[in-house]
Amino acid sequence: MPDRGIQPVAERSAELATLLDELYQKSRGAEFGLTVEAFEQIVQEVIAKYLPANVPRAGIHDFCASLRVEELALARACAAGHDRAWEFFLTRYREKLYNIAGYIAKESSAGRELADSIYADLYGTTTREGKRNSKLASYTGRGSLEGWLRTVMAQEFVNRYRRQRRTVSLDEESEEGAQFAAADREPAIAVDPRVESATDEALAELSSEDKFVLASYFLDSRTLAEIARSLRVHESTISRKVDKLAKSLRKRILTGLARRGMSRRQAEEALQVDVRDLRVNLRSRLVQESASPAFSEKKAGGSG
Amino acid sequence: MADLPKIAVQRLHGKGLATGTHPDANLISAFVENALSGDSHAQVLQHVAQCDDCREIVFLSTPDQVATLPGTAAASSNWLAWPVLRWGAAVAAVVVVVTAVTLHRPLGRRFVSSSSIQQTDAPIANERAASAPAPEEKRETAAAARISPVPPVVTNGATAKVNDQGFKRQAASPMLGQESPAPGAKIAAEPSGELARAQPVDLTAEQARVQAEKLPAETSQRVPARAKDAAAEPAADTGGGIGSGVRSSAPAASRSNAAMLMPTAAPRWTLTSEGTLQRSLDYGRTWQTIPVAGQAAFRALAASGRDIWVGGSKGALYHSTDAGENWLQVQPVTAGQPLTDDIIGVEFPDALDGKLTTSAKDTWTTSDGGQTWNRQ
Repeated sequence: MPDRGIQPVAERSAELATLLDELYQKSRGAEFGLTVEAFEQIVQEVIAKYLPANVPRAGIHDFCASLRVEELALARACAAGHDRAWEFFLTRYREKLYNIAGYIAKESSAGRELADSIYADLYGTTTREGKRNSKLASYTGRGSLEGWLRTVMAQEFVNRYRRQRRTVSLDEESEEGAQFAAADREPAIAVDPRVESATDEALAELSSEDKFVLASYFLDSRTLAEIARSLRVHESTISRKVDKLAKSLRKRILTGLARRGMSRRQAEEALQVDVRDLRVNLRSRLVQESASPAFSEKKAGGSG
Repeated sequence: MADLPKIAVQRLHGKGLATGTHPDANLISAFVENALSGDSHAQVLQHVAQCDDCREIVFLSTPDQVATLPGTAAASSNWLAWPVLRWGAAVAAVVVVVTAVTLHRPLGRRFVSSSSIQQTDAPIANERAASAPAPEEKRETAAAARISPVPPVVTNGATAKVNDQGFKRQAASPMLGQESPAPGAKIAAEPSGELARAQPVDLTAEQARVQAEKLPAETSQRVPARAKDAAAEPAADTGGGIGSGVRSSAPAASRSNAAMLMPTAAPRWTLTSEGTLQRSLDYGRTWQTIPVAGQAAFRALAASGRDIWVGGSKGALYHSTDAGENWLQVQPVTAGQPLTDDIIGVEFPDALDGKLTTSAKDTWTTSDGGQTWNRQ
């Protein structure tokens, strides 16, 4: 955790101190043995984690007001090992935890295993300097605690899937025929760099949401309903959007190819070539892509 | 659905293997819940659009409201689903087209008569004759005149009035003037018919719905041919024309189409993390808080049709039989001991049989809709 931005409440303003006091009352942290000082320290940590140091007071005020302080206090009290907080947490979230795990794993035994694993992480089995290290201590109240639990379980599920993919046994590989897979053949057709650059140019012009929709639909094979639910719009809106984006992207690529000296017919033919026949040096391009700036919310300097 | 060029899919996939720092669970969950402000939301969306793993996590983190509420799943029947509505709208549009064509073709032919137009306005008839109609249409017009059950000479005052109105409308509209191919009587008789045949083809489902809703009041403005029908209905009845029966059924058909196109949205229910009950009447787009009881925090919900059961802290159990309009507190008691533990699970597969799960791991069951309870 960086030290930048963590300042005592007194150094902020009287207005912020009043706000923190109100938030403490709202959080009902006292019921779980959380002192006002400990609560303020938690909020200061959250502010320091997400907001840049030079954010105006109004931004801090809005940010604090948007926090789920009741659930934040509960989570941190659980992480501190408060019995009543744990009792409350289990009453409220235990059944949901298993339901969510079942929904994510799509299979009851795997779901139960996932939920048990997360439960152990939440309780904190490992010790650091004699203290329990609970995953709940990383909850910051940006979204609901239930949503955070859902995301934590989803992350764990994706990590497990990746680990399992890495540790496929030799028998399984043999069954899949991977051991006897033929060597990759040499490229049959050389890629026209103009097609690549025109495609990249057209993709770069898309907004983040458009890329998200296209990648979800064409790469991840998500259904229209799933995409619509994640973006909180109607399914028909996504249906129209996918159709429109695919058409406009094709048109932009064709236009880009025309600018690069291709005739209309050549451009159409270039787009019809199956990329499985193309040999794109993806490795080198991916290394290039990965040099793009890493995700950091602070860099935008927004209020968060 | 249009396909993406394969090279675009390939390049998109290449961009999807972005590395770097991923947003933490707090940000992703807040993103999924739409709780992030503009900049943060845009940054997470930008990352998620390029990161396959984070996109996977976003989709796994997105709650499936129907799946998490088994009672609601039963309540939201499939016939309200979007594909059904879409096909329903298409069928309704076809019905409107067929109805319009059925209504106006016989009506137009009844008025087809060269003598009648000559009586009405000969100069304009001559002008229309100069527009060189197709020979086939001339033959059709003549045949229609021959088979018309109505005598060529207009004797019915109401019919004559309609004819006159139709003619004036035709003369005032250059578009209709161009499209009307037949000389003479066809000009006077067919304008509304032509329009009626052309108009429904362009009808979208929404237009059809609006038409069906506002048919009596707005017909004269939106669909002139229908206005003519409505005005001519009494006259047609007295004349005993073959179209009268069909015409009288048109408003009813339109109303039934409107009913089919405007189903009432089945309410969806959910409980917030604060324990308040919320209802959505627009398929989960917006949610409104439903007041049930003062301080009770609810943890479990069962919904089946208009029957809603909610249970929560300190044995609070409420039942609504009218989709949440009115609530009745139910106090489960067995052997003289009331339920005081927190209710964490409610199941009511039907109106009578129900099961409650409490924080003390007890199970309370009823088989008479909550009148009597057994603890297990």
